[in-house]
Amino acid sequence: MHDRLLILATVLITPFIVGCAQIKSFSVAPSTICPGETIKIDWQASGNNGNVILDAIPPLAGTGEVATEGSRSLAPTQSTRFVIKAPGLLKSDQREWDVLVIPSQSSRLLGGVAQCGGDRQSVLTSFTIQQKDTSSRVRAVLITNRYHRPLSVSKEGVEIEIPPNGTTDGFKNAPVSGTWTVRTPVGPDEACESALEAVAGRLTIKTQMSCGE
Amino acid sequence: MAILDQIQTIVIVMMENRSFDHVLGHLSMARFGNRKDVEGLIDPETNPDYTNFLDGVGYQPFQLKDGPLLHDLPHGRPFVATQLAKTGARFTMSGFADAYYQATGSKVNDPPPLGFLAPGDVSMSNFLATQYALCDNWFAPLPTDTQPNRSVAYSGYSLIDDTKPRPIPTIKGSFIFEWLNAHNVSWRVYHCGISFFTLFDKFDEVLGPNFRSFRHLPGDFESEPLSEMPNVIFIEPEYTDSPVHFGWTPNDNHPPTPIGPGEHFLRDIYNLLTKDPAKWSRTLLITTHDEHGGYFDHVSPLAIPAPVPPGALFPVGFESTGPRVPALIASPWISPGTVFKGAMDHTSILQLLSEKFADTPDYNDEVKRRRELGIQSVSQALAQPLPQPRADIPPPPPDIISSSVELTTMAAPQTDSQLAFTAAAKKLLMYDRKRALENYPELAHLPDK
Repeated sequence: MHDRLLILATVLITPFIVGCAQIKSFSVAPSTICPGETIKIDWQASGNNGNVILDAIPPLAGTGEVATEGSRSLAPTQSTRFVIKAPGLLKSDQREWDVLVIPSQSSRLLGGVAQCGGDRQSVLTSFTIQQKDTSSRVRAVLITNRYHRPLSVSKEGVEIEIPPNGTTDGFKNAPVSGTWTVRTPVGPDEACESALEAVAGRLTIKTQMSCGE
Repeated sequence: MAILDQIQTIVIVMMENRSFDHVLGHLSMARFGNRKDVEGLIDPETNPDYTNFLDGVGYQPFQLKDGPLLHDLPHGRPFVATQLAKTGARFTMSGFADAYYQATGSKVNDPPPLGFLAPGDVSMSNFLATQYALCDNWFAPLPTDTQPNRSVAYSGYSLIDDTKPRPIPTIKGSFIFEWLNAHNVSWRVYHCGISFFTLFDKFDEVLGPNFRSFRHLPGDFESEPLSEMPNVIFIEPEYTDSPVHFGWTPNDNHPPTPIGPGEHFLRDIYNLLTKDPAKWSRTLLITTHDEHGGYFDHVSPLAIPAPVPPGALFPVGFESTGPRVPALIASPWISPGTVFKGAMDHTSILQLLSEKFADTPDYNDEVKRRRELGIQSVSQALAQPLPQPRADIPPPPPDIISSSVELTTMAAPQTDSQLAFTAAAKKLLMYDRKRALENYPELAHLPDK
């Protein structure tokens, strides 16, 4: 009798267990790499029948049906979108992650929300590009100031002024990963709020990326 | 206002979940019309004022081809706060990519919230904006999701700050149907699928004679003389989150549903309303969206706070409106290409109704409060009407919608909004199954469990 109840309960509950699939986590690191480098894909899914699919666009060897939980190292030679799918009877789940392989598309904006103040009375932002996001081989070979006002860019003790709409190659040997600070001075007749308004409350630099050793 | 005397019927269409820039931002772009009079997008792919950030990387708006999205976009209160990215007193509107990653776990080079549509994908909205009036400072009243914003739209207040599967509470006497009835204003709702008003527990109204299927609109328009037409008509789309879709393709614009079917729906409405020039000359069509739905907009919300009303189910008030939404006004009394730049939100409609039917813009205390803080009535967009109605009725764009929606019944509701629709539909069946099935035959297909 107990066995029958157990079987009945299993039959009734199983569709709901496998019916609602969920991807609990999915990550690809780093997201920006150089040709020949390897990325690591981690995922954890639940609630389906062990039927998880890891896709790559364009296709890449090593993808396909995978376990509900796992990790895989791959070496894409071109920029690739990875898609993890967990199909379920009642609910499916899917996530996507783009990997940029330099130099196929080597320009990127970096920046963040800005604030005004400090000893030098400037508008500034500080942001960190994590090594888990960008390979340490990726270099900022050219940085462009997109503003009609001067920018000062600093990283790891090096600070370089970039004139309005100008460029610098002063960071060409420095990895993109790390902490950057970008600032623009508040003019002598300019209020902090006006300076912030002029840059729409944010500061960005356009970074031409290339691969170093 | 004299023009209001000329209007016999006000038609209100509220779609779902699109921002102004996403739908109409293209109007000011050099390659799509270059209209300097519209506060839209300018060089969006390169403009540093629009850059969004995620982990130090910047993302720009990009042209998105209409079609089904892989995910709904985040638009609940905490996610909207991330999107607005307030620092100090400034909303930087730079967190839409961040919120998308937080909500979906997807990290892509082209985050869909930053997508804007080209004129070909929103041909009907583009047409109405070109041939009639566009309001480019119309905001969702609250920086949160559907139910609170629709609550404000239909009562001035919101006693909730999120979307949940529970009856939406209202303040007695403030709800639109109560107000219209109290002022002897005739009204009707035409619905494609299940009515959103079911979520307010207004079952007597929803099952009453004022609620009719959208299929009846052409016949009603043809058979009813002008004098018998309702003063106010609400036209509702087939909601994406409805538990059953048998009669209609979802056409409410709620992602992941594409916008094409919604554009087709607007076109159908326009064709119906303009079929009889005499009736069209006495008609005002207002179409807007309940909230931005997670899509980027570059204009900061208005600093109009919304304190917590008595009896509210949330403890902390709002300090601003939500982002801008598309809002279009069509009437033969309006010159082509009109742009109204006054501050507006959904209570602008309540002001209009109150002006027309109660001789005061102050529909209730909350609408009055918002008016005193700068929200204008829809009537202001009609402040310079033509001396007489236009003789021309511009033909809408041909049926060129390419995006499609698969007609499927929801296997199981997943989101709070879907759960809310399902719960409301089941309560409606329990309330009066016979009448519910007469009005909404599709509900026969709703699973019991």
